[in-house]
Order: sequence, then C-alpha cells, then structure tokens
Amino acid sequence: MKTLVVLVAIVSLGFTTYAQQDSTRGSYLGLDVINSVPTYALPNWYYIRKTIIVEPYYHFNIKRPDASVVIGAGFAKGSTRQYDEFDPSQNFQGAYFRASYEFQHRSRFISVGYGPIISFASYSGKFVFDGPTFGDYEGSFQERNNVAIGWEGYIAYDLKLGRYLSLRFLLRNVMGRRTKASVYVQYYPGFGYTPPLLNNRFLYSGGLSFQLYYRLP
Amino acid sequence: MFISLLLLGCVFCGPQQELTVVIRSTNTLLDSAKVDSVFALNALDSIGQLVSKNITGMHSFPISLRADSTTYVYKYEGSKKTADTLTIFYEREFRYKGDCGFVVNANKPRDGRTHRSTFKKVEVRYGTYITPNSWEVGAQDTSTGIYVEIKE
Repeated sequence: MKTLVVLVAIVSLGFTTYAQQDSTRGSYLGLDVINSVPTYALPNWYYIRKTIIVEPYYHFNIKRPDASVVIGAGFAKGSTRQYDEFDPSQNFQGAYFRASYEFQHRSRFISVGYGPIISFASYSGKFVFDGPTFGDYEGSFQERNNVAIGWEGYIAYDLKLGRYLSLRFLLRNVMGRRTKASVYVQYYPGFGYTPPLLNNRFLYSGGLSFQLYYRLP
Repeated sequence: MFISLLLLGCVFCGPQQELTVVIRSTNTLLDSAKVDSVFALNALDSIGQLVSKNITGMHSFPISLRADSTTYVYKYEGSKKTADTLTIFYEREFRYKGDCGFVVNANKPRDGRTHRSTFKKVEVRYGTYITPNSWEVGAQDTSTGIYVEIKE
C-alpha cells in the first residue's frame, strides 16, 4: 500500500511537471505575415499581387480548462491579378476583426476554434468594352465602406520552437455575406478568394495560414 | 446544388461589347438609288466602310461606345444625290449586373432627340439590350436594342 501511494505520487508528480513544461496555457501574442510573401514572390502566379497583409493576434486562456479565446485584427492592401481582358485587376484595402473560441484536443497540440469575423473593405477597378469599329470603352468603378460579416472555423497545430516561441499551422474555412454587393470582388480582405456565385453577396474561402506566437511571461 | 440552380435559371447577361443597331429601309428611293456603300464617321479605321453594294432590307451596324451618337453616311452611285447622312442619338449606360459583370445598354436620350438625317422620314425605336434575369424555365431573351427605319 505504501509503495502504491509512492508510485501514484511519483506518477502524478511526473504528470504535473510534464504539464508545467509543456503546457500551452498562458497568454500569447501572434503575428501572421506569411500571406504577403507569395504575393511579392510570385505575383504572376498567385491570385493577388503585391499585397500587404498583417494580422496580429492575442491568445489567452479562460477559466474553463483546455479552452481559450483568440482575438485578431487584420489589414490588407493590394491588388488582384488580371484574369482576362474583361476581368481586369482590382485594387482593394480593408481592415477586419475576428474573435474565436478555441478548445484543445486531447493531444494538446491540436486545437479547434470557431468564431465571428467582420470586415470593412473598399476597392476600385477598371473594366473594358471591346469596340472593334469605334474604339474600346474603358470605365472604372469604386466602392467604399463595404461590410461583410462571417463565421470562421479552423483546426490549428502548434509547434513549440522554444521556451517562448511557437509556430501555428492553421487550416481555416470562412463564409459570410456582404451587406452591399454591387460589383464582384476577386479578393475580400479577411475572407480571401471567393467564388462568383449568388449575386456576389456570398463569400466563401478556405486556406492555410502560418502564425508565429510569442508567449508572454 | 449551385449547378442545378444555374441550369434551371436563365441568366441573360446582355452585351459586353460594341452594340449594334438594326437599320431597315422601306425607302424605295434608297433601294433604287444604288447605294454604293455605307460609312461610319469617327471609326477607328479611317475609311469606316461598313457595307458596300446591295444596301436593301435590314442591316445591323455597330454604334460607338465612346460617344452618345453615331453617324452613318450613305454614298450613292450614278445618282444626282451623292450622299445621305443619318445620325442616331442614344444614351450609353454602363452598369454592373450580378452574376454577369459589367454590361452596356443604350437608352433613349432624355432630351427626346432621336436622330438627325438628310433622309426625310426616319423612325427610331429604343428597346433594351439587357433582359432581366429570370428563374422561370424557358424564359426568353427579350432584348431588341435600337431599331431604325428609314421611311422616306
């Protein structure tokens, strides 16, 4: 009996020390800038070009075990690639805010989260009508204060890089709706590429993201 | 689901290029006067010849997207009169149509001026180039555009 108590004590001690060392609990500041990289590195291959995307995050624990909250903001400014003559490049800029409730899987490295997103965007572009007899007509459009509201869900995998740093791989899906949809947008800040469906009001996008997190002492 | 919706619904996008007008001649003089050719003013090609010989019945001519009027010159051969001119007025409308992109329409001018011509009697009727989308099965594209009749 005595040995059993000692054994249990040793095992539980081991668990607690393990948990202390490896715990992902705590507050973190995160940053996602990787989305900008392909737009500069491969501007002719990627669907957006020369785009600045900055997304800071604040990740903190709540009372409930294995649950946490992530608050994020974002800013994007850039242009889309020209698809064809009738679908020319569009310029866009936007700011967005998201919050998500997140819970950890038993493995402690995989998390699942979901939450709302709101995005404010403005964009402009040109369009061309072919005029073989009298000449082409080139027009332009501009939209300001477009608002989109959506819901996002994701699965994240956290890779510890050191005592304070960790890298997060995130697979996300987001869908939403634009309040005003007079022109189809090839890229909506905070949502990403969206298919031209349902009168351009519906936004849907998915993708992979990398975020670097710093654990606050 | 989206595919079936698209198959059922009829999306009439309307023109995304230079528009055309249909010009019909019921003018017996014009028919017998041996029209040599019809030219358009301000065409990219400096000559601007649209058709030559046998200008009878109905023809479809392009209109300019860069101005709210287009002028055609009818040239005659072996006649006292050397030419007639016909200017059609319209108001261009460029707008975005959902599921289609930008489309162009030409409406009746607000000031009511439809044409200016050396022909005695010309009638211009303005129909839309853009049919509204319909979710009814078998819906028809009812776009007609601008129709011009040279009567005298």
